[in-house]
Amino acid sequence: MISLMLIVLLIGSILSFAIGKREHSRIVALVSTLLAFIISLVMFIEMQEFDGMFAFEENLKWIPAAGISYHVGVDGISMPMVLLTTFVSFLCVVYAWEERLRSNQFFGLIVLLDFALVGVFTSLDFFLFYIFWELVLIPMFFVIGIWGGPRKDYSAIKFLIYTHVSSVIMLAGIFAIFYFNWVSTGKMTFDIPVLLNNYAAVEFPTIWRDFIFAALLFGFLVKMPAVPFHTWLPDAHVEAPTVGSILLAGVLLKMGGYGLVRFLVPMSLNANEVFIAVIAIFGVISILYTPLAALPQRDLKRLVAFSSIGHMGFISLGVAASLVSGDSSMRMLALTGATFQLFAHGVITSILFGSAGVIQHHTGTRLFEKLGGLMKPMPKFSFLMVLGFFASMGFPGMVGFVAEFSVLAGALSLMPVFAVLALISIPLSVIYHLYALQRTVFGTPANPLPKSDFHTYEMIPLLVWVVVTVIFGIYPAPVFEMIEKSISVMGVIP
Amino acid sequence: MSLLPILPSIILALASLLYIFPGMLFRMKKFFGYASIAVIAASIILTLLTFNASFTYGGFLKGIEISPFSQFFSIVFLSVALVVCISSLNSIGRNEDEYYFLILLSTLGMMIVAMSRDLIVLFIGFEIASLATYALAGFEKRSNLSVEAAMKYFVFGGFSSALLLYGISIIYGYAGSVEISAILDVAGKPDLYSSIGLVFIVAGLGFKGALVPFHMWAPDTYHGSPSVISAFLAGGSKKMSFAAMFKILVFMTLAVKFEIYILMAVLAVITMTLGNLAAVVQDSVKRMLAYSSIAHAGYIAMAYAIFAFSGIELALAGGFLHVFSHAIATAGAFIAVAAVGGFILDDGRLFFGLGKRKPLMALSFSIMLLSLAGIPPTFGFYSKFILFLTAIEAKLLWLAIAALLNSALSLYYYSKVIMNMYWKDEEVDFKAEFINVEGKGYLIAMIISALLLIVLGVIPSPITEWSIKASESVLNVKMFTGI
Repeated sequence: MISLMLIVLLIGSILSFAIGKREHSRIVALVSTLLAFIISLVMFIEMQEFDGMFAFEENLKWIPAAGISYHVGVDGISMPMVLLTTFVSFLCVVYAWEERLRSNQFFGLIVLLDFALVGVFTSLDFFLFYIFWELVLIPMFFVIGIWGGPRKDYSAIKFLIYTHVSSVIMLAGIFAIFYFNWVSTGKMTFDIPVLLNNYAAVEFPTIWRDFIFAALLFGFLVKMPAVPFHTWLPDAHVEAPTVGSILLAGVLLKMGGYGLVRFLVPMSLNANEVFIAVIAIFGVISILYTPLAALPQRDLKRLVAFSSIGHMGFISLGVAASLVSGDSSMRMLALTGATFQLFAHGVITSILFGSAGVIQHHTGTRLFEKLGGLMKPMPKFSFLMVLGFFASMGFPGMVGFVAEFSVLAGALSLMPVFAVLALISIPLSVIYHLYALQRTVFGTPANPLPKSDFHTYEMIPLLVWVVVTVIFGIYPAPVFEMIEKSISVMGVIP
Repeated sequence: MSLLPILPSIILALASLLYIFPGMLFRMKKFFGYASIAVIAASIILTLLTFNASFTYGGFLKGIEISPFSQFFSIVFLSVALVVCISSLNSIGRNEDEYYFLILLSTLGMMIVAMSRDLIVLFIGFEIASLATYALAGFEKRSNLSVEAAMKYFVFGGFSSALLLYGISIIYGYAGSVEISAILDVAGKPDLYSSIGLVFIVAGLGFKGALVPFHMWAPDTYHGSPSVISAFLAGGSKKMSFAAMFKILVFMTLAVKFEIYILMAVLAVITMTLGNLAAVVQDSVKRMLAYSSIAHAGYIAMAYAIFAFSGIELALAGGFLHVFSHAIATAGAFIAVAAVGGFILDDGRLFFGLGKRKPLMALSFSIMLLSLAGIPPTFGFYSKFILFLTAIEAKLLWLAIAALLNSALSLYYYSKVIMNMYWKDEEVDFKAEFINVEGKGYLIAMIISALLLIVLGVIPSPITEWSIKASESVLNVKMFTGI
């Protein structure tokens, strides 16, 4: 199933490039992303009955001399991410339906990005994982660079170098995991489940154990991003085209959070306890910094970009809280909430960036001083955008609430100081969300107002995202329970 | 005793000698180009047929041996020569016979270095290759830059050959033998004179390999030579000195009990850092590639350091793989410069908008640049992966981190070129004579290199096993020499 999905996407991407005409290449892109979405949906439904272990596994020898294999599979942690990726990518193709500039390349790159991201979330071999992890950068680099705004050169290169540096540091950590496992078990392997299972038993010189944890943590925190390492993100977002931003915030940032849950949580069993505090501190700093940084922004998209940093901070906080000793049901709740936040934020932020894109497209600007009163000419759009911002605020009945509530509820008993600090940010974040709405949708109408409401190809994705936000906000169980099962199988939380 | 394993070299020698006479008598346009491609292809096929052979010969051929090591490096040199010959089809208008004669001859010299079993044969191979490449660097006689490049290359090259020969003579005087394994005797009881001899040999090879204190000639030579020849120099001739170093240093490290590692590690880090920093500030793509190839010499030199420190054989295999991946990628990249900028001239702006003008060429060039930067799924990524993995295995964390950060830094200037190709559309003020670079030769050569990089990057298993065999064979030379 997974290989089929990857092959469909790879072929779709190559075909979109090869077909020069816009009318044909966008259909190819649509069909291939839709097929991938259907496959992942089927897998998701089948997995409702599973036990938390890896499913749909495929394991083939690839480079036996170095213990590398082609090993893919999904569990409850990665399945929601795969679903999110194919879902968001498919709707992105719909959203970009009328893209006119070099459109065959645009659609080809979007499908290639979909391919690489599905690869990241499904690969169970470190070599394969790293290949996909790096492959994600290339299409994104081109998407920012070719279709970006005025400062695209700077932003594209900054994005590429910043995240590449973090990846190579992570790679050094992966090498060390591989090597010490080889020394202690006598078997060369890059297989992720095997390495993580053996990790606790492997004898490391202390400094290496710390180095491995620090290297992987650095790689993931930059990707998330956590606050001191976030500077590439606002630039990349502001310059990227709308679809690029949606994929960047909706799915690419999730790679960092996914890495935390997938690798660092199992490895934390005998990690230095300082690191748990470090993760929590980074999370809380991101949460507190976000409203302060977002409020003075004059550009809607930049404001939305900062909001992602805060939401990703909840993931760090949840992960850290689940690793301190305490009531295990609370730890479970915090970690499940953090993992669910990956999914929730992916959908919500797509609405926000999609709305920013619609505003840019219809009014020609994203600056607050030139916007206002969009409610009148664009009532349908404004309705969806307001719902999206409420979801991002953490309004009950929507996915964001479920995720952040679980994290905070879990963290409150386990790390009370950090949780209270994070709670402070909630009224602040309501302020900047409402401020953004007031300056765009409500408020005094600015000149000139757009003449018509948004196009159908813009409406469909926004509508679907909002509906999903509400459905999973009211009934999160299909995703939530899946995550819970896999976390309990992981064995970190007794 | 079978002649088959040595046949590839014999074919090359015969073909190159046969070229001279008809070339003097008749004008045969393009014949030599196609003939050379056929000859090189035949050699590659023959080498692959006798894959994994181990042969030594008696009598006249006593100084050479065929091993997986020599075959691996022969494949490296032959593939570089192949893409260079294909790309030269359109560009060489006159003196074709001389041109291909020199290419085949220097390829033969490189292969002899890889096959050599004693220092004299190694030196002879080294000189055959060097003398031919001096002439090739100055092949564009009417260009001052090319002549300057050839002159610099010749003076530095001559000096380095002298150092090498002097080192060899000291070793000979000391050990009473010119066999490479004699280094084991000399280095085993180190004193002032034997150390001087070994240092001379390392310096002589370091010049040709453009390791940092000896790198000064490389940017000027690569920049001034015709671009196709720069491809040959960076992809072939430089790798020859690494082949020689692998042969010699392995014995040195076996003998001097792993103490040489700190020298090589520091040299490697300085080389890659300086090469990368200098490459960042270059405007000219060709000069940038010249510095980047210095940086890659640093990565390859890491392999010696890691092996010397820990004795991990995989480090040597990683070094071989990196030699191969860099040879193909850099040769292809220099050919791209030739394809875009004509025979000599180059300017960063020439690449603006290439993605629109020549999409296939731009795509191939991007693949080469990504391979040089070590981005998956290219062969360049895989070879760096193995090489840096062994640095961690040797617990040389600082070396691994230095190399990884260097590799990340290098992505900056490679991605700038990609950026220029795909989204810098400013008008370029072409002069008429520089845009008439047409012809399929360049494109075919670039596509071949790019495909090789992708295929070997996705299916690296066979080449890995081969390189591991090669590293074993270079360690087992003792077996043949009876020590």
